[in-house]
Order: sequence, then C-alpha cells, then structure tokens
Amino acid sequence: MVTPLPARLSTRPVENRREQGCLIRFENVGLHYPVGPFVKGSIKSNLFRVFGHKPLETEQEKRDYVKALDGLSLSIGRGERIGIIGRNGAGKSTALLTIAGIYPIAEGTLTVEGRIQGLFNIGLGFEPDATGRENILYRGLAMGNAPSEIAARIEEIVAFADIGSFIDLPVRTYSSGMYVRLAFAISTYMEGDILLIDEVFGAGDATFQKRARARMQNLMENAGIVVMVSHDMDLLYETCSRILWLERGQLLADGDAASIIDRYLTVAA
Amino acid sequence: MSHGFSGLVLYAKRLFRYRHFWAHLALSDLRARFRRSYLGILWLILQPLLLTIIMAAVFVFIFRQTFADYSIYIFSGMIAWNFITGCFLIGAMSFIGAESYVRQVRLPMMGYPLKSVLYCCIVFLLEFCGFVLYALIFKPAIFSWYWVFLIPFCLTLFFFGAPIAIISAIVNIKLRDYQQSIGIGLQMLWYLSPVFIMRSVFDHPGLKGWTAINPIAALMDMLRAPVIEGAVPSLTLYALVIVWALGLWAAALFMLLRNERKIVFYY
Repeated sequence: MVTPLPARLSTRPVENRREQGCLIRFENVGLHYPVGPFVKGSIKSNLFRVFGHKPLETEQEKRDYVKALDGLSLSIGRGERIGIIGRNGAGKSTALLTIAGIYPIAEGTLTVEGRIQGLFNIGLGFEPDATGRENILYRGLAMGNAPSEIAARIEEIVAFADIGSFIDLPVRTYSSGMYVRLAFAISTYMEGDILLIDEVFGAGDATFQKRARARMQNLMENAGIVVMVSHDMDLLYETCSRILWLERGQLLADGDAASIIDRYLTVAA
Repeated sequence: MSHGFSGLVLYAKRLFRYRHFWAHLALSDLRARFRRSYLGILWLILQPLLLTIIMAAVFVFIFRQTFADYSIYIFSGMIAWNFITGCFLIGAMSFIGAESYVRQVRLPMMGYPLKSVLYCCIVFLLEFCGFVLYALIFKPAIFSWYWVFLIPFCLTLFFFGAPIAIISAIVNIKLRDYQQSIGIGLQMLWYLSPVFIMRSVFDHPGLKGWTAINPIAALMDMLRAPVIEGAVPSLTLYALVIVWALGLWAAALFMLLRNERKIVFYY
C-alpha cells in the first residue's frame, strides 16, 4: 500500500502543482473494526452470569470484529467527482478514513497516489484554551508544515475566518458559529490532490455559507479527485459525476449520479 | 512501522518531519498544567523544594543525617524519580489524550509517547534548576567539575525513560486497568529504590542482590556520585542502565510494530 501523504499548505501555483499520479484503487478490500475486548466478556458481565443472569448475546457480540468494509473493489482516477451514499453505518465515513490511511485494512490491497486532504470532523483537534491564531499553527503543524510555511499563510486564513478580534482570544470563548468558521477556514487552506469530504457543508451564518460554498467549489475544482460523503442528494446530484452506494460495507451500486440517486431514493422511500 | 532496519530509518524520518508538532504538543501540555495558576511554572521549582523540606524534616531523625546533607540527597532523588514516574504515568495518557489527532491525521504513533517524554525532560530540567538554587544556598560546597557527568547521566536517563513511556502508552490504550494499577507498582518500586530512603539501607544482605540489578538504584547512584559525593560514577552503572534500556526499547519497538495501526480502534 502506498502511504498517502497529508495535504500541505502550498504556495505554488495550481497549474504546476500536480505532476504526480492521482489514483485510488480498492482491490477486494476488507476492514475489520474490532468490537473490543470487554464487550465479549467483562468481569462485570461474568459476575452477573455467576448470579444466574443470562446475558443478551446478539450475532454481533459473538464476533470479534465488525466487517466495516467487505470485499470492496473499485478504482477512481483523476478528474472524478465521487459521492458515497448509503444508510447510517453502511461504511461511508469508514471508506473515507481508510483512503486517508487512518484505518488499516485487514484484507485486499489499497493503492492511493497523491496528497490527501481530509475534511472530516473539521472541529476536531482544537485546543480550547489556545487562541484562534495558535490553533491555526497547531493544525498546520499536524499536517506536517513548518512553522515558517504556516506563518506565510496565516493572515489569509484569519481573513477568511473573519471573526474580528476573537482570533486572538481562546477558542473556548467562541460562539459555535465562530468555531465552525475558524475550523472551516483552517481545513480548507490545506491543498491536496485527493479531497475527502465528510458532510462539512453548512458552516456559519448565511453570508459565511455563501463564501464557504464558493471556497469549497474552488477547492473541488483544483483537486485531482474529490470523494464526498453526504445525505444531501441535491448536493451530490449537483457536484458528483459518479455515485457509490454502500450497504453493510459492500458496494451495492456504482454508476452515474442520476440513475444511482434515483434508485436509492426509490428504495429509501 | 514496517519491518527491518530500513523500515526503522524511514519511520524515524517521518517522526522527524513532524518535530514541530511534537514540540508543540509537549509545550501545550506544560501550559495546560499551569493554566490559571498564579505562580505557574515556578511550581516546578517550589513543589520539590517544599516537599524536600517536609520530608527532610521528618526523616532526618530516622537516618541521623544533618538537614543540609539529607535534604540534598532527597532533592536529587526526587527530581530523577519524578522523571521516571512521569514516563510511566504521563506516558500512559499519551494516546488517550491524542484522540482528536489520531482520528484525524495519520502520524507515526511513536511521536505521542515521545512528546510525553519531552515534556518530562523539560520538567526535569526545570526542577534541576530548583535543585541548583537549593544547593547554592544550603550546600554550595558540592559544586565541582564532576558535574559534567550530569550530561551523560541525563542522556542515559532520557534513553531509559522513552521506551517506558511507549510501552505504557500502548498497554494503557488497550487495557485501562493499567492506569489504575501502575500507581501501586510505582509505590513498591519507590520503597525498593534509594529515592528518599538512605542508600546504605539497600546494601543489606536481603536487598543487595536486587539493588545490584535495579536500574533505578543505578540511576540514583549515577546522579549522586558527581553531584553529592564529588566522584566519577562507575561504568558498571552505565552498563546496567543501558542494558535495561535496550531491553525496554526492544520490547517497545516490538509492541509498536504490532499495534501501530490498531491504536485508532481502541478509543
């Protein structure tokens, strides 16, 4: 498996940034999510058993792991805009985190070429007692950027977040709207070849949402590959060329946006 | 982490690439510890100082030492001991406290316990400044050129502590009973090592065998020989600690090799 590189702040122009390959290929990929050592037999549950309590054992609990992805085979090339749909627990977010290299696969082969930019839970990783400006630095560092690279871009990020003097106050003093604005500004300033999005639209108030949409549009245009998880079918219809429908970790359908979304909505209705 | 020496070199390179991030995490732990504290980082000097005075006042009668001699003995033992327990206890929280990063970006996992070790090193060095101040006031005679041996001592101490933090972090993320039980183990180790209790006690026939292989006792001797006794620490002490450290490193790397990718599942 090729280790995906995290996105980095880039000061190079868009045109000559991506000479390298840009590809995601799943070959019979299985991901086993361990159920955990204590679900099967904790001391507490065993004690209850001693006193004659019959534990509820579902099919799931008897297993050591859940097959979060199961025999997934597909290939995504440069220029594709992919939407992933499916019910809750179908493995959509897991698939994104697997592409990002955060979850290890148990079976099959996964090839990822290109720099990854993940927009997952964008509010994660904020330190509440650090200022907005410090948090921009921290997030940049976690992405592998040098402090000087971040310093060069920080004013742009601050300007985009547009939260005034709050940028120099601890993040815990922010309203939830400001929090999201800062998170969005930071996350979208990293540039990558493969953009992974997990339901991050709808940030802040109406004016900010407008700018956020424009910014996302811009990011998606510049990325080699976009993979997006969403329950917003209109959005997927608008932005994606191809839809993957997951069910219990398996690929149920793969095809053009219109036909797959229609089928999905019929089944869901 | 992949197998073999080249895999290890590659891993170290990745670790180094994120050096700014690890340093930031260690410093942010330090800031978090003294947030909303009026005296702040001064506590790192005050805390061992006050504890030394209390302990020395009590034990000075038991061990029949002068207050100055015994308090220097305790102070030196305490700062080294604080470092070692820090590697166990703070190391144990390394992965647990890093959840938001582990689930967000893929970084070499060894970085998290190593940043805990870095934090413990900073605390150790600041506490050591307190020790120097104390010695200047109560026993300035102990300063000598032998203090240069503190440099190899610190390097050995850090080399010994790092794998402890890695092992603690891995065991604790998989089995949280570790953080509940480790305090008891450390208390036992404290009684079996010359931290506060006079060194001569550990030369009794019943303890002699253990003391000869106890890395904590060796580390204390390595620190106190130049600092208190004005002597060169023996090479066998270094050899003993390094052998222990290499064993711990082997265990730590083995465990990391097996668990590096699985850690994300244990939150």
